[in-house]
Amino acid sequence: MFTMNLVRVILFLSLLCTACSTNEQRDPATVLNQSWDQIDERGRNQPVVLLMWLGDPYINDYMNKYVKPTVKERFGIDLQISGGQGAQIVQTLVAEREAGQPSQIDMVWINGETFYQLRQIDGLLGPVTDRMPNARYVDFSNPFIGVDFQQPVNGMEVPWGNVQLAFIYDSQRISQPPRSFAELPAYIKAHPGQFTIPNEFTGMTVLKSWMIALSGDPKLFQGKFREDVYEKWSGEVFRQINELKPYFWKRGETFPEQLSTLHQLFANGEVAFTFSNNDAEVDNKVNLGFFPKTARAYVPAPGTIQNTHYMGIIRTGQHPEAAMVVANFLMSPEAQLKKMDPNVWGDHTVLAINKLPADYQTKFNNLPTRRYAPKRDLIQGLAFQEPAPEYMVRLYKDFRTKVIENNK
Amino acid sequence: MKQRSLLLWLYALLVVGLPLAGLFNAFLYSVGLVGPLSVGFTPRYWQQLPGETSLLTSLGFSLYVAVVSVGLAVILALVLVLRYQTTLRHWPFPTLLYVPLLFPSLVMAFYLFQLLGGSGWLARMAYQLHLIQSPAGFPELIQDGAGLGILLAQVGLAFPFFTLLFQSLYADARLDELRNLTRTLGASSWQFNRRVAAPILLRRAAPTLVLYGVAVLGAYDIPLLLGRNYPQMLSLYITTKLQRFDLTELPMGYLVGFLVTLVLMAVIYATTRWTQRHAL
Repeated sequence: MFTMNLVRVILFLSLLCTACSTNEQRDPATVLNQSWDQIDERGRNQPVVLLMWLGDPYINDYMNKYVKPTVKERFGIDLQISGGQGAQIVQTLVAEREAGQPSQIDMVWINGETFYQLRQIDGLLGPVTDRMPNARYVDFSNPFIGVDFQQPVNGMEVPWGNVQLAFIYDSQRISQPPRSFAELPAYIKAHPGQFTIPNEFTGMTVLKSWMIALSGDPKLFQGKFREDVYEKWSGEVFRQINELKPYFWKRGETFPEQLSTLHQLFANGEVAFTFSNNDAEVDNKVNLGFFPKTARAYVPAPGTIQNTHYMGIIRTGQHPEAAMVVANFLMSPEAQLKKMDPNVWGDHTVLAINKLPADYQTKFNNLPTRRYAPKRDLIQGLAFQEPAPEYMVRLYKDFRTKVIENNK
Repeated sequence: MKQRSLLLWLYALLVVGLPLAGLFNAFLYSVGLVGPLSVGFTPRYWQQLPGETSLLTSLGFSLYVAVVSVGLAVILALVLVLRYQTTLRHWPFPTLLYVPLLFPSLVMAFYLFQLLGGSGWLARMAYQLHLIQSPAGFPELIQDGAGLGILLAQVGLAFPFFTLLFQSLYADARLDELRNLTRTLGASSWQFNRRVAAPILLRRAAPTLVLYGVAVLGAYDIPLLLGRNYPQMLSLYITTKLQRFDLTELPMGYLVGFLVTLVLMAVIYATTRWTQRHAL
């Protein structure tokens, strides 16, 4: 009796496992040895599972109402979008690999942090961009595109959009925001309770920018992680922040854990500043009615971090060709133009406008302008490259131990 | 019979097997045997555990929140059930008590965030009524050092549930009859409540109360929205380690999760044994 039931349970489990393992894992070398025509042909009429951050209604609309139907219509690709980012992607891939299974994910939306982790676990298929026709419009010699968090991209991820950290303030409440990081401490002291830093990705980008600004030499942060540079300049930032803590929101006794919380505090008027990793996000949030029409974005001198976000093709994915077809479409002048419209998303293009066909150059130049965000030409001179990923990892840890938990 | 046995196996697999497999996996992470950057067995993370001072703070804060919020909710529910028994039986109270149970904890947290925040509804009203100089002058009721916002949300969610629980136990234990009996023996209402009713209700409800306390200890959304980054509740402490960008933090996150689960399992086991032995 007992044995019978045990056999049944084992049978049931093995059936479950068989169901999982019928999925096919593709050989990366074979996939990459194909010509684009072969990739395009093989990629058609396949499903593609894309994992991405789903926290912005404009971005979701762009994907669901434009990208999904277009790739379905043109390539017969069924793009299935699920929520997921960062370490979650890495852990899923590791778990799948440990289980000896091909991945359920084909493509991921990533930035340099996750790129670094995915390279650590050899999770990405590549180089892929040299196969993609639309890559000819991208200037990979531009360090803001060809280098991701000081790691050469080398075709291992597909550029999708380019953004720069911006400060957002309400011009009705503040006539003269601090124009530089050097002015920031005096401003915070003169306006207690109005400023805070979120303890998440964007907040850490603020800290990195602040650190580079204080050093006065952005070149120090280029190349590999340097302990001495980090110690010196992070120490200086933390010293300033700890000194300023009594003048921070809630006297610096707590910091928002998420950017959305800080946005909420800003929208409610509880703080005077919020931040965005996308210099054009303020237009999007004002259009949504979330921020007041008097909200404005700017980049304080000597600058903030500019970086590119990318699509990665998963090495163990089951539909790599289809994922490459979608990534190539996302990089097309047509999809990039649509995405850059501030009324759609406002994400700056990764294409070099001068490399585009003349008609597209005109279209890009005639896009509706940003109304509340700074013009791109004005802030290009105020852009720092992303330092190596270890700076971010260390800042996270030290911001907690040296600032948040420091109650002296 | 066969069907019953198969069902039992499947039940055991889902309810015991999978969680235990998860626990085992967490253990393997904690000794470096699995994980993205695993390089084989290492006791390093276990050795580093005593150095994690903020873990102790998290543990203390979580216990404080669980004990105080369940304690306050129990007191409130007991007072309602024992002092206002007749009122509670009449409309609209039986229905009203179910209303907070319909709110997911995140909704409750968000509602309190909007109501009690520095720029929340109450702060604005107080400002309009010139009770405070500026909306920011409103007392800190959320994201405060004492975890008042978290306690308020947890008590708000728990006390209606406890009231309904005590109500049904009250009827089940026929406390009305016992009340009459003690009266005829000369006991006052206070004596009956303190010496007879409260002990019976609490003992019978003990397993549920402990389980509820464990759920509060592991709650995530309420402390995320209404709490501070420091001190942090255990759930946030562990999630931070597991979800942030530093893959080298993963084993420590799993190690803490593993230990917390073991301790909670022991607490639940001990309580169940205790209530069985002292059943009323």
